[in-house]
Amino acid sequence: MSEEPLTTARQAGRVIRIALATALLLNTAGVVRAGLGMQPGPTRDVLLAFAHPLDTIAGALDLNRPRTSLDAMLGHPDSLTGDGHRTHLEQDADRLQPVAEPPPTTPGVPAANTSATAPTTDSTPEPRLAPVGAAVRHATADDPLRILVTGDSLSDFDGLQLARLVAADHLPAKVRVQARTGTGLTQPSVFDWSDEAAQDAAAFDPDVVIMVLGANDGWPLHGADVGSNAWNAEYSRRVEAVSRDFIAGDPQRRVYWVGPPVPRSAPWIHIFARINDAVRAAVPNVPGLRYVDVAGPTSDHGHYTDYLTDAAGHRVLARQHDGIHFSFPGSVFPARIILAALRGEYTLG
Amino acid sequence: MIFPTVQFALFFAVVLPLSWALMPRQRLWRPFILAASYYFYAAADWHYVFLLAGSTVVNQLAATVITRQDSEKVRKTALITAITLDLGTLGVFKYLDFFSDSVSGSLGLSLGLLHLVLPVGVSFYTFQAISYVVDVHRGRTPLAKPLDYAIYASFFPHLVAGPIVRASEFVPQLSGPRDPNRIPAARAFGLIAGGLVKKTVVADMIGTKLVEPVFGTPEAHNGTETLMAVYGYAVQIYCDFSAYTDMAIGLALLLGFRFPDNFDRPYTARSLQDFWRRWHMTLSRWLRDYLYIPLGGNRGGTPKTYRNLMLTMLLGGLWHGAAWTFVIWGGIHGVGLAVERAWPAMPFAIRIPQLVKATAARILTFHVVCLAWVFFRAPDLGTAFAVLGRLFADGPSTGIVTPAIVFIIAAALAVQWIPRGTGARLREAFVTLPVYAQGVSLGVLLLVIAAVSGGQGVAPFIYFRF
Repeated sequence: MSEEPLTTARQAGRVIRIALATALLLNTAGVVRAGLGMQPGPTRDVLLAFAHPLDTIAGALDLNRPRTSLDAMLGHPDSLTGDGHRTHLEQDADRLQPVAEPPPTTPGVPAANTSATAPTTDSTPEPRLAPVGAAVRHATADDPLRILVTGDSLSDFDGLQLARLVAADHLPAKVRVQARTGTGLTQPSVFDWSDEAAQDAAAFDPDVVIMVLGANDGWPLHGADVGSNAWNAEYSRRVEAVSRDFIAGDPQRRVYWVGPPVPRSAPWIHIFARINDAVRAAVPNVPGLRYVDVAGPTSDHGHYTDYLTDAAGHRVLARQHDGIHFSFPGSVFPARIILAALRGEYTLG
Repeated sequence: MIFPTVQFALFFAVVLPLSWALMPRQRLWRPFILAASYYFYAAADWHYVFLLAGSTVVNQLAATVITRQDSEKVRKTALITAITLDLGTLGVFKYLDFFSDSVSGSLGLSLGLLHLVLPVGVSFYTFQAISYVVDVHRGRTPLAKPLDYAIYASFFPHLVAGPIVRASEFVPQLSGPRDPNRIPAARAFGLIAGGLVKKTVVADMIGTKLVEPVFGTPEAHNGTETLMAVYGYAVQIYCDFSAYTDMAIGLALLLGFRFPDNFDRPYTARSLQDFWRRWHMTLSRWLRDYLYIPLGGNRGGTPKTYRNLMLTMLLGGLWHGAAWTFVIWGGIHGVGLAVERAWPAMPFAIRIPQLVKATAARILTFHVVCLAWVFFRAPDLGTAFAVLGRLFADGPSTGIVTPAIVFIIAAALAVQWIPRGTGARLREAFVTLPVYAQGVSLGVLLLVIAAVSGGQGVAPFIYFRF
């Protein structure tokens, strides 16, 4: 045996229990948040059953102060938002007028595009166009367009490919990609996009925000089943709220909201179609919000396809194994759609 | 379920005391730890539990036949069957869609894809299974009892990303109850806490803030940023992977089991051969014992030795994934190892003072390793060459190389030069603290780590993909 200092399993267990208890008591809000982010099931239920009352007690005793102080020191304000109170996203959404429940589209068949997408042959009625915000500024090589690509994991490759297209064409634009993997609008207690939008707007001052979101939004909203009309109406309000948070303070800023692509399997086919509906429904309410439809142009007549054909006629394996994300080479397709949408509003050379 | 999560903390908080409570009653402990391991694996995707169970049954059956049959022909057939099934499983999950896509693309066919999601840890437990049946065939390890082999194959600390533990190292530890009075807890806590810091503070931060932007859009970054990203990735992958295996070793220690080390300060290596003795050591020795030596090793003369080296490294590259980037990564290491082997025999080999030689060798080795990492990290060859091309590019800074990032990279590299005894002295000091002080200090460290990750959760470990 080695000369390592040895101890008993009992003592090691005691140290672990004290360590976990200390970490738990000083970080109850973080544990609540972690619990809320778990998949539904007994582990989540048990964790939350303990964490909620502990969080209340810890809050009363101010035990969360070390964590909040650390967060402030590290530049993570508002990183903890337990569900004992309403999140900023929920509050922002509550302040908005209820929106009409958008009509459902046929699962797998994308609805018509709106102002920012390439034309399709779909026959769904064209929704109202978005109100026009203040005129956009003219980008030059000396003062390039600042583009922030953000959202969930779907945004990562799309953003990187958009940056490549911009660099390859020497366009007067700078692309910053900041994917927030695992996030969405249905669990603001886990990740609050209202807070994130406000922080990103302040930190990066983007001219354009490309928001790519939806891959993690298979959760009920206020008790409404995923994809139901009530769910869609609330989702739409949240899109509106986050867009307003991005745009606040800069009427020239635009948000290009990219809906998720057509996925391979149920239940995501229905959920993604409804998310696209919800985003489209939010557009008329927010000056400066644009909807970008990648689902239609990257599908096979509205149905999932692994392969897409590029301009040179090459077949590209465009999707990942999960049937949700684009592959890295395949992400050039949504990136081109996004760039085409930007060119519709901005002079990019 | 990955280690640095609340889910795993809950799981381990239940399993650890139960494991020690049941340890004296081995008839209860064995099914318990097996069930716990399968539960851990099922948390990722329950479907693949059947794959793990199937692999266990097939390899144990083969090992039984190999042990009990006298006929070498039958024994060999059992061995080949098991290895074929093991490699076939890997082939189906890792390479079939790549092959199908390549054939479709080149022949204009439409073969369709299976869309199989790579089962977590399949490469690791498959390699362990192969080493088991081969070692049984070679007579280097005895046939394990079925339940012991099942525990060895699925033991949750090493199941997902190694280290690749051999049956001869683990199964004997199952021969009786582990001693609850001889737990190197300080070492275990050090490995787990160090792993958490390496993963959340170093790897994830460098990956997000420096490496991803540069490898995502190399054209947008100048030479300094690109060089820092290359160094940054060397640090990121080391901290990410070694963090996982450190935690695995630490968790196993708390359960009373010892695993072999997997990393030994790899960036202090004086040659590529030395690097491979320090990096992913359990894979290196696996490749040596089950690939390089069976290919002939250095027994067939110089040309064959070089061929075997290249084949081993190229296949080691392909093990990481079906992509040319991994082949080139393996190729760079293969060529480098061959050059090192040939160097003393070269007529122009220069005599250099020892100190200069050692320093230059370390710097050169580190940079060859970094060069290979560029191909390992890049999503495709075009990106890899773009990154290399940008190493000498001018241009404005995008501000991603901050003093904090430079400090973290420098510190992560510098830590590898800390004398070996330092960790032992820290552990000795730690155990002199009262129990409550040990617990509170670890709890506060957990809090700091949670705050540093900013509630973003932990990014997936890089080696989960392999």
